[in-house]
Amino acid sequence: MNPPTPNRSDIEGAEPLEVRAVALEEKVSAGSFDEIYRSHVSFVWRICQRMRVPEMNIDDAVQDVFIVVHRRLVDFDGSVPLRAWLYGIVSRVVADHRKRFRRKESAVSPMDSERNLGVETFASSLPAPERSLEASQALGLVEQLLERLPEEKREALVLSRLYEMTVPEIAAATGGNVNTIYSRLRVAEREFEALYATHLATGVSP
Amino acid sequence: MNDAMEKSGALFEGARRALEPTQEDIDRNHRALLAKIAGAASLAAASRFEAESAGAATKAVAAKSSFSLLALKIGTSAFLVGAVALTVSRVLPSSSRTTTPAAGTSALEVPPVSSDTPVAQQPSSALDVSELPSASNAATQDHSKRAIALPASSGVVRAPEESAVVSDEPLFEGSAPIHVSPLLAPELSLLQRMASAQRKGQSAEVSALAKEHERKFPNGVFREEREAIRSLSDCGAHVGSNEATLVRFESAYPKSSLGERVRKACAK
Repeated sequence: MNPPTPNRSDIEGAEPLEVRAVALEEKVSAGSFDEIYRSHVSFVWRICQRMRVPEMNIDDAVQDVFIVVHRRLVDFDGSVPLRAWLYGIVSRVVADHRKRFRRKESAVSPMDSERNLGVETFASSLPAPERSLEASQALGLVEQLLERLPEEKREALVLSRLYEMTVPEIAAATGGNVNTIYSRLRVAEREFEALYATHLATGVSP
Repeated sequence: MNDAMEKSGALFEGARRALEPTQEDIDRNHRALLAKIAGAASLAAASRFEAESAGAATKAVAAKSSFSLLALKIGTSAFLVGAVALTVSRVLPSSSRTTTPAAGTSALEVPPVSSDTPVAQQPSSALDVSELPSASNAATQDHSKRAIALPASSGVVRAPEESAVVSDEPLFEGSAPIHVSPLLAPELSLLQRMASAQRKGQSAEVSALAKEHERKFPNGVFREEREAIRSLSDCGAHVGSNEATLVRFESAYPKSSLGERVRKACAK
């Protein structure tokens, strides 16, 4: 089956009507809060994990996201894809958690801070012990290779390959143009593959 | 799909697994979330009841006070129950958590707009990349005539399968050949010339090629490799201080997997 041709307005860089249509469809099909939770909790969880929310605070952060969703769902007008809307909420909630974490950290003594709430906690939040070593190593290597890409390409790859967002969702979440995101993602994918190939070829562990 | 795409796809899949919640995480979190929402809703109801009652007839003052107090108590109790449930869900061992049924799911649902339709249908992601704006490298033009759509959930539009480029010789001693997209072939080719010159001890040639790479690919993906080869060359030929060369490389790429090679070369 041939892939559907793109919307003309997409090609010309005009307002992506296709995106809006999908968003409205999502609004109609968004269903109950419970369904949204079940369908998107993994998505939210993954973002919180990757945004360095400490393992012990992940539950709270995810719950805070869905409390906001619960409160605002009636106002969700479908003007953006549901996952782009969720991504915005997660980003704000995680930023808020970070602020609270910093306040809490500054309220304890430096020694306690180093021992229990060190600044590095955010930067070294590791997956839970039960996650396989292989998966953790894969994540570590992905992060290491992603660091070598410019910010915009890195962001596109993270949203696409780690959070599994579609290009229209990424465009809506980042305020970018759909066509630009397609191009950026394609180049980013090739560069990441090259970096990984080089890593494998040099045979040096990270 | 070529080998590099497959390997990269498998790596990302592994990384996603590291970020995924377990089913137990999801169930525990769901119960705690419902408890929080229930507690908040009850408190809000109590507050609303109190506010509405404040405007009622003065004859009902006594009744109002007792009812609002009762509502507040109920709200507070619900909140406490929620808090207890939350605590219990965190404190209980995993075996206990998994056997506890999820409660109150339907009671808290927001009325669906359409309960029959599935949640968050994903759009088809197929798009002919030949009609998209050109990528930064001219090489993309030759390989973007057809599109291969990935599963809708990924949202990624693949370029047609590209024949991988295999480097004639490894970049570093003992390393394997590298397969890259034609998109990156010009950059890799330049790097291979650099590596070849470095192995032959032609440090001036290495330096010239490194400058050419800097000029042609200021944002190249192989910048780290370029600097590693340049450092290997400089240290091998003792161009300047080996220590300074090493410090320069390690400062720029402190986490580089090539650091060990550079350290060895610069220690000689």
